[in-house]
Amino acid sequence: MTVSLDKGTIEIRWHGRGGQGTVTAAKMFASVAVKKGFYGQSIPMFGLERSGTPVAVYSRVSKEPIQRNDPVTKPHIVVITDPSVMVFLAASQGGKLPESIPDPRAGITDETVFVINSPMPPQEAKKILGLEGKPNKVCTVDATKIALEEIGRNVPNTAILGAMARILPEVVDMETVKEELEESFGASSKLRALIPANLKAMERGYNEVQCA
Amino acid sequence: MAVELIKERKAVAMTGNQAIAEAMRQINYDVAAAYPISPQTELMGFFAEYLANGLVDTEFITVESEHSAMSAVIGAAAAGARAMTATAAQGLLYMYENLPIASNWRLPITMVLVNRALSAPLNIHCDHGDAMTARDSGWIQLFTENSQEAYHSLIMAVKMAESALLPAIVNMEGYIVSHTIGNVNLLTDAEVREFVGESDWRKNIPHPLLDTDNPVTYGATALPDYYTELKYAQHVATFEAKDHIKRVLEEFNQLAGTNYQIVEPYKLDDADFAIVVMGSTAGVARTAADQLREQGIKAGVLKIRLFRPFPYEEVADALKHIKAVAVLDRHDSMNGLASPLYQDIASALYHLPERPMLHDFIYGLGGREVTVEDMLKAFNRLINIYTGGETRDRFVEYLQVRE
Repeated sequence: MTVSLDKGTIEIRWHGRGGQGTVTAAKMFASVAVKKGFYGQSIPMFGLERSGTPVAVYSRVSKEPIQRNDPVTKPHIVVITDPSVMVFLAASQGGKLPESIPDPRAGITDETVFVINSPMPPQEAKKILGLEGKPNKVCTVDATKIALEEIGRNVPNTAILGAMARILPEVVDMETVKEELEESFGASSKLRALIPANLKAMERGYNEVQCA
Repeated sequence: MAVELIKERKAVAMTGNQAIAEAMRQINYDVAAAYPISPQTELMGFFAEYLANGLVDTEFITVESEHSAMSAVIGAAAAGARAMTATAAQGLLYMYENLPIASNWRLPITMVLVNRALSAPLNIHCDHGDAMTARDSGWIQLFTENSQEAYHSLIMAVKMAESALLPAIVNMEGYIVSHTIGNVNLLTDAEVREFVGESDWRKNIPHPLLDTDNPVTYGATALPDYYTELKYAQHVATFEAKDHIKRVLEEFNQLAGTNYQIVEPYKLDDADFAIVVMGSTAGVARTAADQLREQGIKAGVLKIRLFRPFPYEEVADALKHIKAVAVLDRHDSMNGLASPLYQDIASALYHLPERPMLHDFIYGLGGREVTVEDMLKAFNRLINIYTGGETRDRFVEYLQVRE
C-alpha cells in the first residue's frame, strides 16, 4: 500500500530533535519533490530552541501549486526520526506525552501512515501507538543504526528517505535523491566523499523497512 | 564581470532567504551594505557566499550597525550606484532616521525587510510591526506571499524604484517565508539582467554626485522658503509612482508569465463577504474562502501586494459591492481606533456612496501560527456581526488571543 498524489495534496509531519537533521531531511524531501516536477513545501518550526529539543516540521507535496502554509494538523504521513519518541510513548502507556514533545498521534486518521526510526518491529510500534486492529500502516526502520554503520555519524536522514521511497514512490526515489545529494554536497569535497555512504544508507533504508 | 550561472529557466526548491540571495546575485548590485539580525542573517550569509566565490561584482560593506547600512547605501545611491540593504524589526528602527532622507533625495535604493515582530517583548518571529513603522517614510512597499514572490519582487523592485525614483522595500515574512522551502521558478541570469538593465552610475539617477562636470548638492538645508516645495515634489512623485509600478508589473508579467497586480482579488466578483490580507496568510485565507463556498457562503479574498503608495482606487473598485469586509492586520498600532491596513481600507472606501461594513482583526503577532480555522473564525464573526447575530463593542478585535 503506497500513498498517491492522485487524491490531492499529501501532508506530512516530521517529529525529530534539533540537531539530528530532521529539518535537513524535510528540506531534501521538498527539493526531491520539486525535482520530480511536483510542488513541494517544507516548513521548519524555528524558534529559540536549542540542539536536542523536540521539533516538528511540516511538508506538503502536490501536483497543484500549494496555497497553505499553516501547520499540518491532519497528516497523511507521520515520520518519526527521533527514536526516543517511541520510548516516551511506550512509557506513557497510551496517555499523554510530556508537553514539550509534539504528539505524533495528533490529528491522525485511519489512513495515516507511520514511518518510524526505531529498532522495534512494526507490530510493537503499532501497539505502542494504540493502533492495534486499526487499518493504519506502521513501518519501522533502524535508521540510526544504518547511519552509524554506513556514514559513521547519527544522521538518519537518508535511511529514512529510503523508507519513504517505499511509501511515496511517486516522489522519493534513489536516482532523484542522488541528484539532490550531488547538488547540495557538490561544492565541498569533504561532503562529496559522503555521497556513496549516504546512498548506501538510503538503499538499506529501502530494503530494511518493515511494515505492519 | 559577474559569472553567468543560470542559463536556462528552472524550477528549484528554495527558502525565501535563498531566493532573495539568488535574485541579488542575478541583479548583481553595485553596492550592498548590511548588519546581521535574525531572520535576515542567513540571507546575507547566502549572498556573502556568492561574493566569496567570485560570482558577483558587488561591493559588500559589512557595516557596524543598521544606521550605517542605510547611510552607506544612501551615499552609494547618491553617487549613482545601484545599492541595496536588508534588515528586520529593531534593525529597521535603528536605520529609521535615514529612511525619509533616502526618499526625499529620490534615491532608488532597494531594501529587503524580513518581517519580524518589534521588541518588547523580544521575539524573532513574524508580524508586520516593522513594516508599519515605515509606512509614512516615503518608500514604496511591496508584500510577498512565498519565496517565489519574494524572488520576483526584488527583481521588479529595482526597476520600480529606478523608474519612480523612490526607494522600495520588499517585505518577506520572517521564518514563514524566509525559512520555508518551496518551489521557485528561476529566470535566467541574462533575463534578469536585461529586465533590470545594466547599472550605469551616470544614468541610474538624474544627478549623480560623482558627475563632477555637473556638480550638485545633496543634503542642503531648505528653510521655510523652500521646504514646502521640496515636499510637494516628493508628494507628486509618490502619487505618480503607482503608474510606474503598474507598468513594471505588466512588463514583468510578460517576461515571467505571472499575473501580478497591485491588488489581487480572489473570487470577489459575486462575493458577499471578504477578507483583506497581505503576505503569506493570503493562501490560507483563499483556502478558507473555498471551504465557505462549498457551504454556499459567497466568500472572497483581496490580497494587497502594493502597500505604499496605497492603491486607493483599486481597493475601492475591488470591494465596493461587498456586504462586509474583514481587514486582517498583522500589527497593532495602539492608537485607540484600529490598525494601519484597516485605516487605509476605510479611507479608500469612505468616498463611495455605498460601502461595505468593515471590521478589523489583529492576528499573527510575533509568529502566532495562522490556520485555515483562524480564517474561518474571522469570516464567521464578520458574517454574524453583519447579520446581527452577534454584536461588537469596537471595530478592532484580536483574532487569536487567549484570555
